[in-house]
Amino acid sequence: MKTLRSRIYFLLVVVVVGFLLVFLIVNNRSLSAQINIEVVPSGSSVKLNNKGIREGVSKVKPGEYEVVFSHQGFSTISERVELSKGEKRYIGAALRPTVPTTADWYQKHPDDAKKSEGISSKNFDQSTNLKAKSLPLLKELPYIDRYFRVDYGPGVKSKDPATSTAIYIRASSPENRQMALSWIRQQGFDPVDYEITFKSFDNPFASGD
Amino acid sequence: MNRKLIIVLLTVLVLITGGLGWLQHQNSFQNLSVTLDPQIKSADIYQSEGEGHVPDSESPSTHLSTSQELRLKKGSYVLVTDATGDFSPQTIYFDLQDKKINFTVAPNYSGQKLQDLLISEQVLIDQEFNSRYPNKPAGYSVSNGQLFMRGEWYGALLVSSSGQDGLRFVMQKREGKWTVATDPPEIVLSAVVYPGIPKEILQAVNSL
Repeated sequence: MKTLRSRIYFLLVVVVVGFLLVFLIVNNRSLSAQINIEVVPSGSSVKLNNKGIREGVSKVKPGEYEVVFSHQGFSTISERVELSKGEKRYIGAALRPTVPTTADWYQKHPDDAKKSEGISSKNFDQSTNLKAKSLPLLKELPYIDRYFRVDYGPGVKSKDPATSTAIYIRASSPENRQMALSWIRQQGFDPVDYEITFKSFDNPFASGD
Repeated sequence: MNRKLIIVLLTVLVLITGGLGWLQHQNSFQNLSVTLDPQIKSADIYQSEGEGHVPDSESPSTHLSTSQELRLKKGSYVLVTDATGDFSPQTIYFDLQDKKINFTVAPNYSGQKLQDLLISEQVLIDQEFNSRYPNKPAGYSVSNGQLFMRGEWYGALLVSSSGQDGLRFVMQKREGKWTVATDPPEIVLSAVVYPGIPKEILQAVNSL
């Protein structure tokens, strides 16, 4: 009798542990995005949707987040990110000194200065990768043909700063400009998805009258 | 004694397996809310292999005759409406995954209906365009003007008689008044620059 009872207890423990494992696995699967946070000066406060979070890699649920970096005597940086399922995003911030007592912080703290350089570099790489992901045509550029050149640079007309990269087409005649557009289509891209600026083309309607 | 233990063990195993199976089954479905325009009599939803694939002979997964909240297995689908009266058929591809989808089925007017409408709208469109560009560059004339959707959008190509670049523009009718929606006319119109204009209209105007 005693043996049976102990076996049933053991079984119940196994069942409870099994359910816990299933719960943890399911829960972990829903936390499928990753956010990698870095900030200088070291010891700065980092808040993810108003909740404190440590530097380094954290698993989060896909969704929209606001990351706020702050440190007394330094600027506060706030960044909004939208993470999709499986996405890994790096968010780095190098806070600027705002008061005289912290003005030479980075000179006095070479480790933070070095980390700050690393953060800038990683932010640049990520920005380039994100642009290339949202604007895949950029991978093919610059393209130089006998009759036209297709390049890219800052956009000026688009409303969304995240996509403010424009395709620049340099071509001297209407035919060559059409050839450039045809080349973009031949690469499998639709010009409608890009802000396109024609260099050396004066739009006769541009004055608006 | 051992028999009782085996029965308890099997019962627990069956319960766990059944519970997990039920959870998995529930997780394989997703909600979908479809609002049908009152002009639309019916719509069919088919399982699809992705954009461009319209099953023709299969029976639909769901037949709709009114707006409905549905629960379908996760996957790719296509919703199809037939051409009726003044409306063109509509095909909407959608991917039902982790999030609930809501959409409204409001087919566009047929090409014939839009052509008929354009006859009465053309004068008003030309008036507004000419008042927006009173000093229209010499040699440019409007060509291939078309109405889109339910006649509230208009797009055309400005053709140059001297071989200059063809320029495209879109106009929108709001509260009964036409306004230029893309200023200035461009060689190619961009959905990034004009996010408020349906992309399919910009694509159609770019191909005029």
